[in-house]
Amino acid sequence: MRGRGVLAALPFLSPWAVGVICLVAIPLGLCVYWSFTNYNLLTPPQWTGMSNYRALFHDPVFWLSVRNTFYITLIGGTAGILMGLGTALLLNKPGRAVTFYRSAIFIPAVVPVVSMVIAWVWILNPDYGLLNGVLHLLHLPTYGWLDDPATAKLSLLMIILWGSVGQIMIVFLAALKEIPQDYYDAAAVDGASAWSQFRHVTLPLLSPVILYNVVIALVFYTQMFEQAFVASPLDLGAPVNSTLFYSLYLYQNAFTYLSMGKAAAMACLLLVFSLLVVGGFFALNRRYGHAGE
Amino acid sequence: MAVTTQETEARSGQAARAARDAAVRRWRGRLARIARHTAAVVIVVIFLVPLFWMLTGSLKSNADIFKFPPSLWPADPQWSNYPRALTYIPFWRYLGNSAIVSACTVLGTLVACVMAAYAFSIMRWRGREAMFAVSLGLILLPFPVVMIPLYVIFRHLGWIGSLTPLLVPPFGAQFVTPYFSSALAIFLLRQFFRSLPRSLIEAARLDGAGNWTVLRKVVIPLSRGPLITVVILTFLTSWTAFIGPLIFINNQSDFTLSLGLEQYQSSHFTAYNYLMAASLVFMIPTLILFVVAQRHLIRGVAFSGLKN
Repeated sequence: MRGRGVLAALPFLSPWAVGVICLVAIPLGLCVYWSFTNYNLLTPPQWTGMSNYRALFHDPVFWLSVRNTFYITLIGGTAGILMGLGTALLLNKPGRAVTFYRSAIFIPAVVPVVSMVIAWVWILNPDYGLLNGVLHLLHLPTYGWLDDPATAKLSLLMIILWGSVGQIMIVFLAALKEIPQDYYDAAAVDGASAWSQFRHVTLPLLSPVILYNVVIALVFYTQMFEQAFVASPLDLGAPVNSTLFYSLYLYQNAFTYLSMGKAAAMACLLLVFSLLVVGGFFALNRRYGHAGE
Repeated sequence: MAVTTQETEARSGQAARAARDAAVRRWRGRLARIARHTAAVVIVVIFLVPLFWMLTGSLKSNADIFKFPPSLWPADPQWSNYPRALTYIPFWRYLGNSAIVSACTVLGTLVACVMAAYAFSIMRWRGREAMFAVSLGLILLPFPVVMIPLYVIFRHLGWIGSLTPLLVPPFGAQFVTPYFSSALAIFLLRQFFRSLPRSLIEAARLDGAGNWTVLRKVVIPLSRGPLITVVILTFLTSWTAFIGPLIFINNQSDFTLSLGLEQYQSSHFTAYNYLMAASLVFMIPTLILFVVAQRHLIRGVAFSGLKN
């Protein structure tokens, strides 16, 4: 019969297959290989065994970048999901005003990252920025924001959340629309309060979507690069490495210090970590994801 | 008689209580609605302020920019910032590069992903589900893992120093950017193709149509919605992509605009007003797309979250 067999499918698959082999599989293999070598782009790689990994484990800057990344992943991931879910619940009603609200919250998602970050760098400028200007008018204390190591990570998170809460909200809104009204009616007949309806109807039915958002947040924050890079392109991780995240340090090793082997080792560790975490979440999903059904 | 009086009394009491309850409920509903709208307006204002700041910033003079406390609207708006901003960097050249890259990305993604999605949905072959799982798994592959090897490979091919590293990969159904990867496009199209009525495809087959004809004459004409969604998401992603151009483009004259915007910032001075003006011009196509095709865009974003 026509349409059966790998041979018939091959022409349709070939662009994708060539792409996967040349742009994913081979690079992946090279990355693993280089992680065991000393490689500076100019001379051929030399096998050095585990020395890149050993060097990383003894590198305080590496651990600092790991800590910084954990910090924003935890806080940014949690805040993003709470804000996305909160706005989705708030705006889960039809109406013209609500449509406008949703668009306004989503629109930052289409602003190019360089414009977004530099506009915020200006807003957050301690000397002539809008935010300190408003705080000053209200007689509230002003802060150094991105210039102060104590607040730099949170300031960066503010920028990232501004650009991403809208997308999380859209995903939650779509999921909320799928919950049949009957469930709420039945719960209301049983005398369930708004909170217990949320707790026992909405939340269990949303759990797969929450899990999806957690995975996406993990993937995004563990690779977070662009926002931190643009905020201070000439002094990566400024001030004093407080925004030096994993991907930034990896980039720095590769393209500033030309330590391709060390950067490749970092990439391999990131891959192993992502696989473990994502695998763990899917195992969790299999166990608890369908609790509401 | 007494019984009926009691009944009427009870009934009128009930009615009064019901009316009171209804009034309380109405008021509570109204208050809740007001509270909801107030909260929404506050949130919306917070989200719109940076955009407003970009707009007023694009019209401020340098003196206005560094004023503290800042003024909400410049006393004398500098419309000349716009023409100046567009000559401060090679704006039109970068815009052209962005257009070329986005056009190639959309075209390549469409061709490669539609074909792959067809093979993953309409055709039946051994190992299909396993291959599809591989395709999906690529969404989670961290970009830094392939970033360095790709740079080296492109260098060996002599592509570094030209736009080629951004133009070719889409035709292999791979985005060289960490977000909305082509795997998502394949996934979105495959889900839709699978929902097409099987009978239409079988009927075309009985008329002697091969796979290419079925794809062209049956599947594609029926899939306009999802195809538009893929085009929009792909365009937006490549139009604003940053990390791919940053790593693979070495020649300043090959910069895309999303990367070139960085040139308004130097080590000691940032031309905020020009950057804001240029950014707003750069955002015109995305804003138009957003207004015209919001439905498709939101459906795409929602879909990616829902079907996982």
